[in-house]
Amino acid sequence: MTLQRPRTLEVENLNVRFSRSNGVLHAVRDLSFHVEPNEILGVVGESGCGKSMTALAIMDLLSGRAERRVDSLKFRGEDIARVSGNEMNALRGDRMAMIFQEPMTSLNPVYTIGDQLEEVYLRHRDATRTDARTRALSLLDMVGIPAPRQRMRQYPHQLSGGLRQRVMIAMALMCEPDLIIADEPTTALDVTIQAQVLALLKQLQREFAMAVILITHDLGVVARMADRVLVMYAGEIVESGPTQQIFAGPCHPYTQGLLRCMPAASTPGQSGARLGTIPGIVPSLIGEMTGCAFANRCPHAFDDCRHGTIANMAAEADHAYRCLLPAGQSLSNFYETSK
Amino acid sequence: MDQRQELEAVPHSAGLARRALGNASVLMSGTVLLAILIIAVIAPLIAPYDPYAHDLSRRLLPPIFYDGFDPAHLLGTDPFGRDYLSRLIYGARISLIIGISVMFISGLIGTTLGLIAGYFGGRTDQVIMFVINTRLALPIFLVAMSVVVVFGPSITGTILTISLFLWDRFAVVVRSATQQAASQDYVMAARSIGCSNRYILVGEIGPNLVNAVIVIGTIEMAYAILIEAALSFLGFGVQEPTPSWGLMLAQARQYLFFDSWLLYIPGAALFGLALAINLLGDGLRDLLVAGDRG
Repeated sequence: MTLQRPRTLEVENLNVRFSRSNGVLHAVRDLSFHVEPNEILGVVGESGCGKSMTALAIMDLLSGRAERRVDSLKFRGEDIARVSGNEMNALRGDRMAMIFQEPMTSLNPVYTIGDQLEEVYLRHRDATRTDARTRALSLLDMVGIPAPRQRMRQYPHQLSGGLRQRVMIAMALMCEPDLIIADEPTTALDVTIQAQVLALLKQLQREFAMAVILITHDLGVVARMADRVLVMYAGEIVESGPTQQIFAGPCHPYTQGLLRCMPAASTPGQSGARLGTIPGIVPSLIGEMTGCAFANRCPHAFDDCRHGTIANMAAEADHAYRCLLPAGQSLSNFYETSK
Repeated sequence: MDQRQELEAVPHSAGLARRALGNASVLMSGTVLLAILIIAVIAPLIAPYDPYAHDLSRRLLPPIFYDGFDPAHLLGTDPFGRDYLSRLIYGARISLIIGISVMFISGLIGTTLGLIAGYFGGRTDQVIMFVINTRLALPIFLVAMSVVVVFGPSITGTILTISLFLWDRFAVVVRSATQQAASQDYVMAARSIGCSNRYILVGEIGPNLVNAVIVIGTIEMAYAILIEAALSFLGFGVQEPTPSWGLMLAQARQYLFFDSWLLYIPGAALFGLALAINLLGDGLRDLLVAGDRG
């Protein structure tokens, strides 16, 4: 492997904790992963599995109550785990940007779209307002907003949700960042708009050759967009690997369960089949956890699953999963037979 | 060309001005307030007499709506023979100076504290809430009295004392509005583009609080004017011979049964001013809240 271009992001043992009256809540446990330049990394998992916390922890945007511990957090080869607030402010918006879930509230209602776009550029570049305006106009054009000149003068409430999300994407791209973290960017949008926004995001990612972390709970979105996937459960990565491999041969019982929960376009003879579910509930994140977090819902769990630390197993190069079962073993279609 | 028209939307401010003219209470109270403001500013030009000029031979003349009034003194004269209209006109200056300065000083204190408490939360919030509670526990008239005893009475002293008592509502309202705004995604978005805390407070959250602050400002201004009158009435505020509506009321007290107009003329002025300010605040709130939704 040649070392010409460092990985965009390399995270080692990221932990996010909240001290609560009834104990320490581990929102994210020992998370290690990386993002290559010019790839889309999909992060999937159900609500509360720590996806968003991971995103905020990378950007150092956690609230004061959260405690972040990380062994190393390398951004473009440089450790940013312990840099000062000012240095982080210089990176945010310039080299790394974020797109949020709610386009309706992510724009400040008292400023025009133009002001808000120009703000990012003026903050990070030694540029005049005219430069910033030109840049903002070209980006609005690029994200497919018709009549950008008029839109620049409008306030957020005059734009629809889809348009606002396009503005948010334009804002994230103002300084051509190396990394964009998109936290459920299409969840709040209509399905038809979702497809457009995703297509736009993918096209721009290719155009700007940047890394994107796409956080979502929608496996369909991941399948369409991501080059690699992280599957998260209860604050841990349970499986990671190239999208193709994960979808073709999921190794972790949780990933398998998730895939069965996806409604498939009805194949002949299968119409009317019940949609899969994963029985049980997510374990409490408070306190230490022993064994596998998924053990109490897993159809294949045996005694060893409930003790000790579960190590990562490699299914193939670059495809790892955190389970005691050998790859391929657990494909016994438990979920389907439990009608 | 339909789409084009929709795109060229009416600017925010133009719509607001037009709606203000269509709102009866804003229009009326605004006119009254503007009139009082103009009268106060050009008082030396329109006051028929020097408000300090005594003429004991012409004391306690009745105003125009009583029998035997003197056409030279439309609102009569006070017990020292000073022209009541002139004193009323000059008194508007005191009321407005005090109302406006208190509004600005207490607004500044309260808004700053409220912003800081609401945005940073936690320990900071607790300390500021403690200060607010301490302030709420202080009785204004007792403190005002002690200030007068220690420093002697003066207009500056009165303004500062009242200001230090009227910032709490600003602080409480701004604090909760800031808490609300700080949890909005656009604040997180601002942080994600590298904005500092100070910029977020002043540049992102601040402008969203303007409406609330304007409304509280008008309420507190009316309140400050009434407190000044009360303090002057009790002798702890503005002192003789400065013309102040509260002071005029205090003097009129002993003539209540025989020359009641001495009491109700400044009383009516005070009432009118406070009412106009409150109505304006009320109308502005309707307008600005509607503007938010627009």
